[in-house]
Amino acid sequence: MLRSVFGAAVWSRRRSLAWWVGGSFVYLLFLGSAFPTIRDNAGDFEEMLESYPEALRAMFNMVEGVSLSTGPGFLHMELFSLVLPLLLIILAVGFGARAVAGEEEEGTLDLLLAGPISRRRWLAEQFGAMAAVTFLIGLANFVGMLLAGAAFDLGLDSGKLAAASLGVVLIALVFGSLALAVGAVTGKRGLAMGVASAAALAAYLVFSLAEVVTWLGTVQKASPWYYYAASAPLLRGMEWVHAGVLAAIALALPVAGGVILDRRDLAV
Amino acid sequence: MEAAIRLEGLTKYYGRDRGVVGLDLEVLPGEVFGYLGPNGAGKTTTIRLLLDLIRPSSGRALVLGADPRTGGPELRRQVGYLAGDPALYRKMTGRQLLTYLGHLRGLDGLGPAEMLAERLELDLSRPIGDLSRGNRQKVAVVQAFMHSPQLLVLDEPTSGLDPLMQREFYRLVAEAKEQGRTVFLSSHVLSEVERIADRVGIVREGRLVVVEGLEALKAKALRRLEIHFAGPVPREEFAALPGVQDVVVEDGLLTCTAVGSIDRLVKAAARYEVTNVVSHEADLEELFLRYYEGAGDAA
Ligand SMILES: Nc1ncnc2c1ncn2[C@@H]1O[C@H](COP(=O)(O)OP(=O)(O)OP(=O)(O)O)[C@@H](O)[C@H]1O
Ligand SMILES: [Mg+2]
Repeated sequence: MLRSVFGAAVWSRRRSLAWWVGGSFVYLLFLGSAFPTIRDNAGDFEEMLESYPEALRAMFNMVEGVSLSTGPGFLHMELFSLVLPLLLIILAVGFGARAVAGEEEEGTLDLLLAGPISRRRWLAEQFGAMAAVTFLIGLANFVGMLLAGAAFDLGLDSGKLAAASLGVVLIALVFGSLALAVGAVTGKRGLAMGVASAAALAAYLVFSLAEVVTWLGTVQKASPWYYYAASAPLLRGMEWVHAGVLAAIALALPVAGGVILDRRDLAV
Repeated sequence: MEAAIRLEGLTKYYGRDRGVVGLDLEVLPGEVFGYLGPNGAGKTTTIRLLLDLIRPSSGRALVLGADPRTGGPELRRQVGYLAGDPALYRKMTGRQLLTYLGHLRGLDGLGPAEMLAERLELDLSRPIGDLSRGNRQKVAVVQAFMHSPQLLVLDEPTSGLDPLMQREFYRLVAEAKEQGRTVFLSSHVLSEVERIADRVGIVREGRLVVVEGLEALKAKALRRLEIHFAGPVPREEFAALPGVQDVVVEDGLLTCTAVGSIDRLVKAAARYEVTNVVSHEADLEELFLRYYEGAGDAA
């Protein structure tokens, strides 16, 4: 592993990676085991949800015809509306903020970039490592959900589940890339985390509230969250254009950050 | 021959704060160059400019004939760098870090690092975070030397090393020089530079005050002299001699500071009956302070 920046970046997170994978499995099995109970009482739950104000229901990413009594509907609302993307965003943002700014503040970037590694290469390999780690955890979640689905009879379509899982990885990478880029531009890890977290929260709120707040309606498509959630891939399958938009943002941000990183002074 | 390092009006400001100003310098291949200066003089700034970690405000640096900015990774592959305050991955063991850095520099893993670590009595199996300050410094020294670079740029390399390990480090520098490599090292430990450098540059408040060969520097050295006479001597006669300062006469004892040659002084003294002469050896420390003060007066 210790042969490249990419390898070392993954290697140094091997323990937390194992925890994420293990934790995901436990959580998903636990959640899956709750499904039969929820399904049997879905009527009551849905009545309750109906009584919620519209704004609150928007937060649960309720789409037309979704029902808690089906496995996909259950996962869509319980996991994919917020919890799962949030977890992977936390992971990716932490990774992105540490990749340049964190190492710069620690001083280790000084050592590495004084060697035969260009700044762009550093950024590219760190992005690659962030994408790989996020993808691995997305994959672990996908497998965990398949297993839980089989065990508790969720009736999942593996293709649609894969599409939805990929969407989670992509939305996480958007904000991970933002943290990476802000870190590359400023060299400040805290700022990178803060900006990326605030942006993720704003993206989620704009998308969700736009369903009910009319003046937000026009800007909904400016929120990356729209391209994650609007197509509801777990229910309707892959939406390539939306996935492409997310991937393009995730790739463009580090490229832009690299332009500045190339020009600026490195802090001691 | 092409200079290993060439500075042309190299200037760096941090915003409005002075880093270094108008540095002109040429370091020849195969030379050991000592870069001396007090805290905040601009040594680290100069060195980080050479590694393209920071960019000049004006002027330029050429390292092994190339601009650090455009030379890029290919250039830095031929340079070994030791930071003034080296930060290493604390969770890695010495072996892991050196393997990683070795791979990045095109070695097959540890390469000669194993042997270097042995010479410095460094335990490679412990996490770097658990090492003492001196042992962490050894890791930093090993990584600078491990890929046998053409040019070594070392920022206060011996800080934290005990005297025995310092000596081993001087040997490493001497060997590098024998192999025709160039060494540029900064220090405020003057005795260190005196020991291993061929030439010395003294930097003060961001400006190079003097660049001299070590011999020439010593020739210009200050010498403290005590001359014991059999009887009283006239102070004025000695005070009037060029290059003789701080003349004090008490009974038959004359003390003074002489710069460079003491020929005239000795000849003047010979006209009286001399009973004893005591000369204190030239000291780079004093020399340094003198240049230091001199520049201060001029400013
Ligand atoms: N990042 C920075 N921002 C602002 N000023 C800086 C920065 N880095 C260095 N300086 C200033 O530049 C000057 C030169 O600092 P430098 O670190 O090069 O000195 P030095 O000779 O290495 O000192 P020392 O012996 O203490 O290591 C100092 O006045 C310092 O305050
Ligand atoms: Mg310094």
